[in-house]
Amino acid sequence: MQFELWQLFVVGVLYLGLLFIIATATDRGWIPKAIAEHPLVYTLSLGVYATSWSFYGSVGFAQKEGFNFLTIYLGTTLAFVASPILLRPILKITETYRLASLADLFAFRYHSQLAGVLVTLLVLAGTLPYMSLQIQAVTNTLQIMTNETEQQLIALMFCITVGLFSILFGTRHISLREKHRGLVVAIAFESLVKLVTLLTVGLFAIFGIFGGFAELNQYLQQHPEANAALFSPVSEGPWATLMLLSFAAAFLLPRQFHMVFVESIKHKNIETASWAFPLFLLLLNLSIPPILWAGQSMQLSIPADFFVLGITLDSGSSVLPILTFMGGLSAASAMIIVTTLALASMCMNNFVLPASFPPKLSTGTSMYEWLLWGRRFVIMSIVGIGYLFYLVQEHNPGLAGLGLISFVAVAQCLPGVAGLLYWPRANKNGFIAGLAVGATIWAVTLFVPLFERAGIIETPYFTVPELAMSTTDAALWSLLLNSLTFVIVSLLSRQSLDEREVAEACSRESFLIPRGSVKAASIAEFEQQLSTIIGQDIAHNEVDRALADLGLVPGEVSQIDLTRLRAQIDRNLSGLVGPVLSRMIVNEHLQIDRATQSALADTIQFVGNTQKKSRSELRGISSELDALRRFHFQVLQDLPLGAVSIDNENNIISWNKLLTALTGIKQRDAVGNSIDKLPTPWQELLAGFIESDEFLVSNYKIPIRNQVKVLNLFKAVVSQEREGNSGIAILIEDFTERYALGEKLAHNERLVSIGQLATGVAHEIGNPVTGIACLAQDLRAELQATPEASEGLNQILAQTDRISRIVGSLSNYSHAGAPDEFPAENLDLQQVINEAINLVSLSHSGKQMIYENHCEDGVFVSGYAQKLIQVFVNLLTNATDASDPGQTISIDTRVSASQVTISVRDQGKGIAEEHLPRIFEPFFTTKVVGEGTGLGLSLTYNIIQEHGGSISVSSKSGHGCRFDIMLPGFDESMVAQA
Amino acid sequence: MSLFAADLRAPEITIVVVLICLLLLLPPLLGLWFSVDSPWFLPYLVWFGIILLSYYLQRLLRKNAI
Repeated sequence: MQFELWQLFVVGVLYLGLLFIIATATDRGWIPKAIAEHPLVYTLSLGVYATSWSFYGSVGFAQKEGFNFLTIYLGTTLAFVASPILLRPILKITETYRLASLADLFAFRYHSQLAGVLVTLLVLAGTLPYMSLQIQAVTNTLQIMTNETEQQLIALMFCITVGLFSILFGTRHISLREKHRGLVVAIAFESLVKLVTLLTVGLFAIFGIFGGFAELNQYLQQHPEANAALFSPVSEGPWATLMLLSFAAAFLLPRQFHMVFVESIKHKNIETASWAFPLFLLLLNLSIPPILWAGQSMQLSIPADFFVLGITLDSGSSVLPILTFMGGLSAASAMIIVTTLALASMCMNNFVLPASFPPKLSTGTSMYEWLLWGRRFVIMSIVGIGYLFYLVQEHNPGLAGLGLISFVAVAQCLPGVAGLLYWPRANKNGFIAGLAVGATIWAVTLFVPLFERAGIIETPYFTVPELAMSTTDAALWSLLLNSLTFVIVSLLSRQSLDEREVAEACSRESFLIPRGSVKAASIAEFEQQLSTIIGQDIAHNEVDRALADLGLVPGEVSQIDLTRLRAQIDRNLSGLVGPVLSRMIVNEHLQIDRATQSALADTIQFVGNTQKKSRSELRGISSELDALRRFHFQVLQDLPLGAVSIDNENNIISWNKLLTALTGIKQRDAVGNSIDKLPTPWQELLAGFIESDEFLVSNYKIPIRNQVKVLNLFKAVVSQEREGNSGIAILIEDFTERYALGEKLAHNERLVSIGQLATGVAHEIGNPVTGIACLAQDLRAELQATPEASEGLNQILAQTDRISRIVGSLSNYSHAGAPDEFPAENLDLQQVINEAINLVSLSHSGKQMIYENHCEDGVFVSGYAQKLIQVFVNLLTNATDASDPGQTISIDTRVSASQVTISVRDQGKGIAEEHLPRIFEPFFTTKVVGEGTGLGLSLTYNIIQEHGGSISVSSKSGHGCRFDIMLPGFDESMVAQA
Repeated sequence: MSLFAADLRAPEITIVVVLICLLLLLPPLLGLWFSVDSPWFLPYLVWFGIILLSYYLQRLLRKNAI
């Protein structure tokens, strides 16, 4: 069956248009995110690995090398099986540092622009045969289907069309740091088309050509050589070498690197792909033997590379060849689109930008626009170079041969990958030297001979048969010498400090920790410093973007946040202009303060903040250590003491919750800053304590928010000699309440001792005074004294009487607090108060007062009658003394469920405010000397306490006074016990 | 019952699985699957076995969160 060229051209353009619609629909959210980001879609997008070589060339490869063709997929399978130790670590590094290509990865790890340039050159040269293979496959397909002889014209049309689609697909975003979800879905769709097509053709071969499985088996029995031709070459062929090459190609080919690492959205995707992608490859290759045998049985006149198409053309149906054409077109276009995108990124970051940065832009042209057009130009240039290469290598070694040349080229990066992941000592000298050796061998033995065979160059050297090498031999020798040079030169040369840091970060899958603090003090300074090299608008955008990435609010950015911001800007710029240029911009324009290079606070804060983001990604021992770290951190946070740790430069490393409550200083305002920046009085307190030789300070009084706080401070020196870190941990205990309790206790103890003293004094004074009084009475009775002498004796008796009363009061006071030997009684409160009123009314002044007892009948309290009577006598006597004659003194009671409140109120002169706190102290009195002992209220207080009650006073000078006594209500159980 | 001891970590388990795959895909075991008398689909079955092993490895790593 024959087709017209225009028909296939229309089909091709419509098909590519459909891909563009799929990509657009995905980018605009018309295709649900759950589908676009599904692990199986990601897995299918990795199917870009299967190009025209797989779609068409596998049959030809199988014809020549038997089952050796499977090595191209078995090596890839091994790479994906090993993904936990191979692909996942690389994915983490590329994601963390926004590395957009293989060249960027090596330029970053080996801290060398030259490394990036060399890798770009090698990969670009190595990919050209592969691109020309795709062009050749499509033109051959069209030629077979149309008999069109103008191959070069067809190839040119194909290149222009695919180039335009590459630009449309790949330059929708400014940089490769944005994920191209649309591209991923479109490539996944292409993989699905390839798979369905090959399976359909395979089924057609079995059922359409042979007539079924039984007939196929019958054919194989009749032609045992067909089956043997697949198995025999395995024992003879370069099985292991081919597996090694495909192992490397699985993730080092530019298109594979792009889809596996750059376009990966979730880590879970690569876990699914580790088994699903090999399964995809298996299904893709399942049809190859039946198609080969079908082509052989049909004795097709076309090369075996195109049996897939050939058997369908003889089917008589126009659908199957068109479907096959679309499958082949999918394979070729997907490869060229993704490869040119990946190569464009590499060329921009390693050739164009380093040579022209900063670009001299005309007014009104932004750098983003310049980068976008630059990438478009590079994409078309790469497609153009691919087309030129296709033109010059007419006499190529077949589809598989061209593909293997590319595999050998990218395999030269394998030693570099080993150094990246597992050998931190590997350095840029070793990598560059090894790569140069390997690339040279590859170029001399595989790449240049392509031009020689094409007749472009005539170099006798390459025609010397003894020196000619097969692809696999060249692969082995180049890799061997590359690795050897890499190891030897790495061992003989030294790394720079920066390179060592990056090497350690890569091999440990950790992040780079900035040493020190940024010099810039604000976001505005960041923008200003960046704008000198990338322009004001771009600087503003990049700073805003980095702030958004970190979830920071511009007004609340601390010094530590600025350090994180710098790291984020470095990462973002890396995705835009490559890691080397990005590092150069950041190092030159956002400088680190070397004086604080060992700032432990910055480091710990940086690590903490960064781990918050990546916590979900931690696994195994890292996860357990992180959980332990967070537990310890939480313990510190929840301590019932204020805790602060400070590094050796007086920067605050941690600041716990209680300290925040005590000081009012928020954690985010404290951590990372020097203690010198803390507000008064904390700055003076902490700085002074750190400088002092004391490790414990007790009862430090400090005014906080109109209140005096009493603090205890403890200090410990933290020293980590091995790590070179040291600091101080300070615990702060709020001792205010306990200090006040202690003061009260001491006061009570003083009162007790005064009581004891009073008892002793009363006892010692009482006896001599009694003697004096007796003698004075005797003298008065026996002597007929003169009136003067009699008056003197009366004075002596009056004074001894007064002394006796004072001594009696002291004795009562001292006994008041002592426990009674009798149990409490059920007392009628009204009766107790009446008794007290009767006693007070006996005095001269008492007779002139009005006492009102409002206590209702039937109010009972538990206590001792004589003591309570004394309480009321004391209170009523004081009230009487403070009142004018005729005034009223009232006693009220309020009864609640558990207690009785008795209020004694007068209308007298009241108590001055300054005296109120002291009126219950012994010997405190405001009466004139001789009128009061100052023990009455103190005694009252003790009696009430003994009854389990409390007494309080409220008064205002000139407005009377009110005493409230709270006594527990009567407890019937006490009566029962009694 | 798990094929691997519980205290093994991702790198160790992965290396063991990769070594098993290599054992299957390199001589002398390779000769068993790729002998001339073998049915044509036998290599695909071996390949499928390796895929199952990879699936088991990922399940194990995910189950143990390592």
